[in-house]
Amino acid sequence: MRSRRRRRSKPRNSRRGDSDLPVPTPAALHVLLALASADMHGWAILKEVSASTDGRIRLSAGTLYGLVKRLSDQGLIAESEHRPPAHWDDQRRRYYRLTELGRSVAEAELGRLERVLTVARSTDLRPSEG
Amino acid sequence: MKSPRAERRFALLLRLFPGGFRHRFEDEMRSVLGSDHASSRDRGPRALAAFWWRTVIGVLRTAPAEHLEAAALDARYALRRLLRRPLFSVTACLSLAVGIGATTAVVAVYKAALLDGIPGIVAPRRLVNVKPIAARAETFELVPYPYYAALRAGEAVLSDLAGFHGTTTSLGSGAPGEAEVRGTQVVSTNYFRTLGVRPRLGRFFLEEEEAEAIPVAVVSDRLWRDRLGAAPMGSQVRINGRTFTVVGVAPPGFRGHFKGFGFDVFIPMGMAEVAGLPDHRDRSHGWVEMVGRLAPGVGMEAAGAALGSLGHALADAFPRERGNLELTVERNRGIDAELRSGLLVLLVTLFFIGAFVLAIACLNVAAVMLGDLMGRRGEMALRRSLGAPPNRLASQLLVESGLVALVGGGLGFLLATWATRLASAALGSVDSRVSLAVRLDAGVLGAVLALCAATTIVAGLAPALAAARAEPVEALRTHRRPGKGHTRFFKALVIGQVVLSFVVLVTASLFLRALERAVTLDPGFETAGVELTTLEPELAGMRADDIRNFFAEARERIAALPGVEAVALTSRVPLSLGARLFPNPLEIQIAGWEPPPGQEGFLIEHAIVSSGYFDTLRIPIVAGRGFGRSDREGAAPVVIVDVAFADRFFPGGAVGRSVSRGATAITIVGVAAQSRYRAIDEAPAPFLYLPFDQHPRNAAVLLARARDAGAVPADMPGTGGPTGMAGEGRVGGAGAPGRGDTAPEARSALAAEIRRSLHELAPKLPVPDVESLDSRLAATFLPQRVAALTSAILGAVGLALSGIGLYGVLGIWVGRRRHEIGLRIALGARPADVQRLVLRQGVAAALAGVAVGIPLAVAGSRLFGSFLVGMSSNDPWSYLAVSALLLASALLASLLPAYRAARCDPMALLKES
Repeated sequence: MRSRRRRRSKPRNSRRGDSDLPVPTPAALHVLLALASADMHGWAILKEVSASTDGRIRLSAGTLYGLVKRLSDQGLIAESEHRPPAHWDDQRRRYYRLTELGRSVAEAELGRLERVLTVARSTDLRPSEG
Repeated sequence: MKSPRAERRFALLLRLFPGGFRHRFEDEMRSVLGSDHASSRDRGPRALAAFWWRTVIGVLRTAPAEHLEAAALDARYALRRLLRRPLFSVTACLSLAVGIGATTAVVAVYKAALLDGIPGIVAPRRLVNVKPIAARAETFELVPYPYYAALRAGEAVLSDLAGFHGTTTSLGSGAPGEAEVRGTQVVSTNYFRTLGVRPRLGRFFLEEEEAEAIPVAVVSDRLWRDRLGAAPMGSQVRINGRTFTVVGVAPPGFRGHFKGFGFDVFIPMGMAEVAGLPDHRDRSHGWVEMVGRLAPGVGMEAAGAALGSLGHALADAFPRERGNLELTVERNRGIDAELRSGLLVLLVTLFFIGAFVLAIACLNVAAVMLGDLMGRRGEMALRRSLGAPPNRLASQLLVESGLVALVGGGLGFLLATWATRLASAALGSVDSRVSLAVRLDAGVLGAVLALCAATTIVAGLAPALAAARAEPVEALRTHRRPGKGHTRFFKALVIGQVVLSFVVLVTASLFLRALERAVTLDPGFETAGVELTTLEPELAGMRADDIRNFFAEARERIAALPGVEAVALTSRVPLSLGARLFPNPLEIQIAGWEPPPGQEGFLIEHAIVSSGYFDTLRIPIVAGRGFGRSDREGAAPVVIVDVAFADRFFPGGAVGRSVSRGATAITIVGVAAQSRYRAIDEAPAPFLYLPFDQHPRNAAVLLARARDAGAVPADMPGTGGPTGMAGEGRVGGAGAPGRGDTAPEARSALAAEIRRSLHELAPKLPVPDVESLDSRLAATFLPQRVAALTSAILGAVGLALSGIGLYGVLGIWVGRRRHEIGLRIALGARPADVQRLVLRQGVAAALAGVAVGIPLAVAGSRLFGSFLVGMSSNDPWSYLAVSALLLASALLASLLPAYRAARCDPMALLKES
């Protein structure tokens, strides 16, 4: 009963007419993309995002965990049970993985971006460096 | 490598996040920050700087959003919980509203009367009242005009010294019945400059308007808009029958420089004669009051010393007034000092009552929340063991109490709006010139919010602490039964409510009994059946001889009315607000008696009364005679004394003896029975009555005693009768029903007859208000009435709340001891025994509350002792009655829990455990 009510309140975060999936912000999309390849802890996510964007996006710890909280509350990421062997591990760290929902959301968003690019290529607009 | 300094900074930054967020991510974030910091440090100072910049900005951007989200979540959760318990929510909101409303209303009145400046006045703290040390004079704080002018010319410590005289004038266009009485200030031309007030329109007065008689007037913004229809400057009004040109409008809200009385008309001193004031050059009559502005750099003491010595030096030129011209300087507080101190006692008392009721409501909310928490120990323990941080639970409870406080505060604000409007209206009903503008502004709103915050903390803190303290394992183990510590704490909250209720109820009872006492105390005269009206023939432009004839004729005409038994004129109405506020002693010498040191004679209160006065008020003459027609001007001076005077100075018999006033010997012709004059509870004091015809006055109060019911002729026209007089509808309101034996209809008909006769006699005179002596005296007790009514309402709320609280605690107590009770029943205890057990608990709580409440109430009642007319603040009946009331309420609150306890089914309980 309650869960149905919650679902009904969801579409506020979603694109109308496409699907019921939430739209991630650019920073959130980068976090999802980072987790797409492997389960990671916070510091690794931070480094991955920075590396994959050539240092253009450097998340701070505050921003990162704001995103982590929102994404896990939305069910897009979850804590991973797989941890490295104890001698490698830092007990304070938590590892995160992409959920099925998170994967669908990331894919839907990539699809949307691709469609935008297709449209954009038919114009004389060209992406700028930056 | 870890840097301890960086670690400390991380800890500080992370504190900016809400508790829940920290609980979830703090460790991880520290780890990430540590790694990020180390790697940035390795890459050089620029990277390190970029790291700190990024981190600080990131925290500042994320933390507020997290806080907002947590608060919204808590609020939603709290709202859901409150909606699920509508009875509690409504009771809590309403009781908090009553408490917050009462305290807010008091704060608003306090602010308006004692704190707020008067609109338009610049730097009010530099204003000083310059006045005679007038303890021994009839003339009060007034000085002759030439004295004021000399002082103003000679002083050097003030940047300006203004003179003024507050009075009333009739304002109108001259058409009969259209004139109305308005508060009027006769002012020196520098009056507005001294106050720093700037005109809203037109100009204020010019120098020459003080020296010559130039009929110009400045009006208040209110009068200008309401009465003059925002007429252009230069239009004309009639004041006391003379045509004046309106030259200026005072700024909105400005109605004179002190609060409590509103002045709508300002005329220059050059026109003082129109208001019936003595001539400019008259050195023997004081009529000017003074207000000045301290010159820059001059302090109060320097100004007092300089003005005192200058005043003393000037006084020699005023032989008759000399004794009255020793000057003193006091800070102008914008309100009469006596009014201020009286109001302060009333307001402080009401504030405490309001605050107490608010505290009771807070404790009630706290108790209910705590009780609810005990019921939810299982849930709380489960949430704790699932990892919910303790502050999270606590903050949820605080948000819950905050929500209740906010709704209560909103309702309380509405209540305060209504109450202050009522208070302003009540003040206006005492006298149309009395006014106090109470505004609910940002300051008052701030007070409401502060009260809400205090309420949130007081009501929510105890449950929040309890929630934070709960140990999950222990709680899970005992979640069926609340711990003993909790119950004790809960009981303390309930007893606290009883204590506070006791104090509020005792206060209410003292006020009510004092009021009842004041109303039923015998004043020594009969108030019922007497109508009165104030006559000011000057308002119709009459002068000395006309006034005398007017008074004589008015008495004859009213006496000839069929419904009138006796008529008299008097200078003052006994027991009225004026008689109470303003002493009016006369200095006399009595042969054979040495006056008190430093005085030339005895100061005895007096009134100037006409023949018929003692018949009208039914004060018996116990020896000698009353005044008669022979006691007129030119005849031998006579006086009537009261019993206290005769007993003190002439124990062998006063009639035929004499007292003297300077060189004039005055013969005592009668002794009147003792009556109260200034206050209903005063000790019998010596008093003098002087004959009106030997001491003619420009204004007097006319008293008329109605014939007893049945004696009023049936053909007397009623209010709606064929007399057809303008403005007649107003009479109904004036004739308030008294304790008298005269029917209200007959009385209002008589009031109408009196008005009609006076109007026929002097058509130019504003139609006077006729009211009953009873209602005039009722207005005298207005502060006591307000205090009694407010405290009674608040006391009832307090009583109900403490009853509800007790009911709650007993319900929980019974729940906690269900097993024990079941066992007792199983072992053969009768239902009556079980009921007694519960009732005993309720009574014990009430007794404990009363025991603590008594010393508190005794201490508290000292505060307002001066307010209790005619009785001691330690009135044992009030304490007994309130104790009984609280015990009865405790028994009532215990009945249902006791009944429930007695119906416990031992078998079911045994099975359950």
